[in-house]
Amino acid sequence: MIITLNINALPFEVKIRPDEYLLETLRQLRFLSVKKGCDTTSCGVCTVLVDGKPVASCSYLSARAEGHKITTVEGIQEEAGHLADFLGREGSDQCAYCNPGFTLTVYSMKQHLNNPTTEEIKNYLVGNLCRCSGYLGQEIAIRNYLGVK
Amino acid sequence: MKLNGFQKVKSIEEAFALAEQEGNIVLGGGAWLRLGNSKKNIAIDLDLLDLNTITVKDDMCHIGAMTTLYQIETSVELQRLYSGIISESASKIMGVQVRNIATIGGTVCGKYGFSDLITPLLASGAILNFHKEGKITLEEFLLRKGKRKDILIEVIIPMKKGLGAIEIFKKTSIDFSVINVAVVNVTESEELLLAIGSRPGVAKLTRLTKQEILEEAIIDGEFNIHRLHEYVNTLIESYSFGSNQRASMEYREQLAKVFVQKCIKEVLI
Repeated sequence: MIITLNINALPFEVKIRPDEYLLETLRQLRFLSVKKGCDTTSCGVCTVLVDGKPVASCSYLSARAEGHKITTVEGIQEEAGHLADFLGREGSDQCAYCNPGFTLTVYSMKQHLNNPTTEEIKNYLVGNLCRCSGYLGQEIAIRNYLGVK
Repeated sequence: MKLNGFQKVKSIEEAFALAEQEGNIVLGGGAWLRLGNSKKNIAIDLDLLDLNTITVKDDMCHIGAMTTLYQIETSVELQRLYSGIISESASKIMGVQVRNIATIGGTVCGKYGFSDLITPLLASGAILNFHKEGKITLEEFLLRKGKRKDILIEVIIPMKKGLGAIEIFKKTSIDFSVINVAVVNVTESEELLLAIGSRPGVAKLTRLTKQEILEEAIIDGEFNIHRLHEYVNTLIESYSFGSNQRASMEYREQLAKVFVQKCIKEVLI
């Protein structure tokens, strides 16, 4: 089937299988920031924003995505760079495989949570696993990025 | 799951007509589709039907079937109902990336044993509104065998005054529960509603008489934890538990005893 996807505010006409997931479609379209990890909704490296909300693209059907606004980290480069500065200062960027998904989740958190507590930040990021950092540096970087005390 | 086709329907009638055809499937959120190996003909998507709202009318909370778990988690109405147990249960399910995909309709119709959401819905007296069949209680729906070809429109929760308590135990935040327990005490009712899920079977409801519990647990005006413990031990015998890779039957039973006792104490004593 042929569908039109709105990715980073641009239309993409693409041929997909009915049971194809957004992760596969996006990578075929060369949005290579979207990573494949566990493929079972657990790790968060495949996170993209659909209508501004983080979703696991490994479990979101491409056909359903038609009519919705998809954002990958390529679509928020300036903001992603801003967050990367904070992560870099804490030494928490590490191997960076999880960074695109992590960045999109934090970006969404900034839009949806007002002055979040540490507990709320942690809860929002439960679905983003990082095997390098140990999370403390990330937590400090996010708090600084969000401007929360 | 393998699909031959995908259809975004424009009306409930269109969805129902497609659902009646052999081999088709109605999609909820689709979060667990990839975990199955079955083959289906057409996946029917309700995405365009505006079934993703939470509204309150005449002391009833109407939750559209396509409402996501994250919407449930952040709903002010649900956060205020029965101590917020429905919202709290949704907030504990996987990461936000899954909660933005999974829907209440998909969860309920899937009758998932591991569900953390079905348990507090059951204890809250939830009613399901289907396109063809109309309204039936969630309790009755869960007890039915097999699957019916119908479209769930909404889940309705009577909004009464009362307290709720919930306990969810899982090994990690992104795993399925080992056990979950919810208790609701509606102020005007003489009964407590207790649901235990992830046993690992789907949640089961029991109605408890408040007076009976109080007579058992309050001796000479003093609360007696040992008497409540004995009451709960007897009560738990009416539930069946099983083993899987997450926990043994015996472990689940012991956890259930502790959590039921804790929840009853929280809402009643």
